Amino acid sequence: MKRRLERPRARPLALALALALPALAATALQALAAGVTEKADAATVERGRYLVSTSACHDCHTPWKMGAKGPEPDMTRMLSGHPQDLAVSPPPKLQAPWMAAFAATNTAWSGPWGVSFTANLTPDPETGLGKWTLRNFTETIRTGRHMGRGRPVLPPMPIPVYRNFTDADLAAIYAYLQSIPPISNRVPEPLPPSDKVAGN
Amino acid sequence: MSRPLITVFGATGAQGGGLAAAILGDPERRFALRAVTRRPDSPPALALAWAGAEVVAADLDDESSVRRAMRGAHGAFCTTSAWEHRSPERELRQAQGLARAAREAGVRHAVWTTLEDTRDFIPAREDGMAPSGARYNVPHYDVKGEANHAFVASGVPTTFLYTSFRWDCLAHPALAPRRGPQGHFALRLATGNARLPGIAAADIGRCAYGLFGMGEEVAGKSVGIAGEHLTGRQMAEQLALALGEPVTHLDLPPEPREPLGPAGATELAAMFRFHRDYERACCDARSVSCARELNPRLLTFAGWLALHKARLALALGLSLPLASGAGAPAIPPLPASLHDTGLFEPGTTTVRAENLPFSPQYPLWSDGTTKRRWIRLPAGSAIDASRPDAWEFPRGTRLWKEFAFGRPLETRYIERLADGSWRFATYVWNEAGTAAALAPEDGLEVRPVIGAPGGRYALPSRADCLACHEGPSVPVLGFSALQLSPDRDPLAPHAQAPRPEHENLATLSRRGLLRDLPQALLDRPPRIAAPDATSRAALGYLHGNCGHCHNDGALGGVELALAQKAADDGESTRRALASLVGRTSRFRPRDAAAVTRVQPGHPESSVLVARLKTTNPSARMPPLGVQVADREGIGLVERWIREVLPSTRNINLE
Repeated sequence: MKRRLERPRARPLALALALALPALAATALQALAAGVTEKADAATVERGRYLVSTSACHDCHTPWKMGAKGPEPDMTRMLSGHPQDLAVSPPPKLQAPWMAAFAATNTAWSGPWGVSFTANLTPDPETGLGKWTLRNFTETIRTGRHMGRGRPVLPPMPIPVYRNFTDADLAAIYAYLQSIPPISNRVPEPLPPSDKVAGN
Repeated sequence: MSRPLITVFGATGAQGGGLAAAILGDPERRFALRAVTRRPDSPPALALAWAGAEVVAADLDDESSVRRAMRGAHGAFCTTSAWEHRSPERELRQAQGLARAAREAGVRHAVWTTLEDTRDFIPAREDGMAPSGARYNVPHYDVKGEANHAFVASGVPTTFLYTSFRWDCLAHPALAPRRGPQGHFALRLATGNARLPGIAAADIGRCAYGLFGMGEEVAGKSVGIAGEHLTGRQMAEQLALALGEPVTHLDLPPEPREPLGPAGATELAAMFRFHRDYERACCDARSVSCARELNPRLLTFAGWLALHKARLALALGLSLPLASGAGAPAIPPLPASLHDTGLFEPGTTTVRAENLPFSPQYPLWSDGTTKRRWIRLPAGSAIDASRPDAWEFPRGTRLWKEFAFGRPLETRYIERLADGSWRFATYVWNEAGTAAALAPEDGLEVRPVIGAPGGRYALPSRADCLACHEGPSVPVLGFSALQLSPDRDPLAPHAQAPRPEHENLATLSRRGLLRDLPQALLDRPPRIAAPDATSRAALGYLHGNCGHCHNDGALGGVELALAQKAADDGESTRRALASLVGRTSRFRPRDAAAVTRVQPGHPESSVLVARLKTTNPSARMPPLGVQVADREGIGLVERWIREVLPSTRNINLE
């Protein structure tokens, strides 16, 4: 049987496309992926709010103020972490068995790890989690490293507890945190351990 | 409702069903679905209607109904089934009818699921007849290939989607493994040692969805897809794992079985023979990475088995225990000794010849340890290098990296497992340097180590491994097109002078270990685009030491793009500079006044330098694996910022 010349052949074109695909695919496939990302519905956000309010997030990430009946969370600064304008004095020197101390806001903790400050969890893009993706958030909680890759998340953040959240729970918490009012508050970086505190 | 409409033929079947589900499941709802079926009141058709599809009745043998089904459609998924009637002439008429109807309806993008016309490959016999004496060699292949002309002639912008062997067919009575005389299951594919491209039927539809999303860019093109290229033996091994029963591959044609009978068995045998004799052409034409690009959920054979083994067991007359490990292939535990990973000749520390040494041009700084590295691919396999920055390593790939301070301290080990996943481990050497044992999962500190900072040496934990290696798209960091470029950067800090025995892009390609490597990368080896030598080396240093995390995928939110691609005309460089120069740092070092990531002319005011230099463990970068600042590397970065960047800032403005 005589073959006609114009018969399309699989190989050369498929190869050409395989090479071209990464460039071609960037827009279309990324758009697809973006569509799958966190379009949170109201029920998910509500689930996240429930988890945040029952899992002790406010205890450390919402600064305390002194109320009529003692310390209470300052909800005007809800989940915005250690206040940037609150300078901390050097931590107290502790004697064994005492190991850690915390500031009146409950947002600064001193211990063998140095001094840690609680993070701004609001969706402010420059000082909070506004630019974080769900993957960044989930990997942080799962691994106890910033965004799953970087420095360790310091005590007293109860990573060993929170890493047991399901993916769905973490997605709900993330959705809720992205829905709350953004607060611009640049939390200071942690202080390294001093020899005296570290007892080393 | 102005969403473009896609008409899907065979929407209640496995391939079309995959596409229908993808259209309906897209959260952006970019397309509307018209599901074509002969039986609109069948349960699958009703389910599609419930999910939001327009269900219409049409029959491929009734061209006017086909035309009606395409009316007003933007796209059409065109597919025919040979096995239903086993008449090549009828299938050809149906396909030609689809092409005509698409033209008449003004369809703007058709995806035609096709196969090779094997008569283009298999020479006709002297009498001009195909080997079987019939008009066709493999009728259901030949006809689809022949029908390509109808689509070309129709003028409809068409993507020719070359599909692969559908693993779903393994549950069909004609192909399902059967027990042999000894009671063991036998899979009869007659493909010898050749790899057979295979795919989950639903993935064909999901890949088609990717094609519709890309639109005219892929019109007029041929795209070949596969989930995996596997030999009969590899398929039998995975079947055995999934079923919990021994399965062997027999290099024999399938037995004639109902409902296909002897003619069907002959056709299947001819199909397998074609794949055996033209293995290279068939596999080359069907790219796994291409399919994954179109459809990120692409299943491997193991993944397909995990989903379908219950159906398969039913077809085989097996009852599967429910708690059989959820289809996960049994992974052997990590060897307790480095020698058992296959690095050395038994009883020696002589590296086995098949383990190929290499040295990346931009190595990671690890407190001044000296390193040696090797890779081994399974015999006869190759890396799919079609995507220059995301090489696809074959299952069974092993890599080793030895760290030494005078004596070997640890050898890290990465292995790609049969199920496609990767595992990481490290082995700690004895002081005599004669043997190394598997280190604990949570790491280990070795001391004293002469020459190491503080006399201590810390082995990473398994979680440490993942922190860096899971950052980029491929978990192998130092073995890539850029890192192995023969055009090596003479200013790269700590780079090992390449030895003759070290592999690079060219030698690997010559050995046949890089499949589909773009020729352009051999003609012009990858080289970081930079205005001068210092910039090139500094960007390379940041790539090798920072880019595995600071890329778009892993830490997108940080907006710091330090990874370099192998060939992108300087785009990586522009993006790196744009994300560094003059950008306000979110991180504010306590011990420095810097607030800008990179301040040209002023390394002392650049957070990048401050974080490379500091000894504060909660500020230092990289965050692990470094205790001692890299003076040579930091010196290079400082020199780049101080002397070069002030005059190259314009590159940032593009």
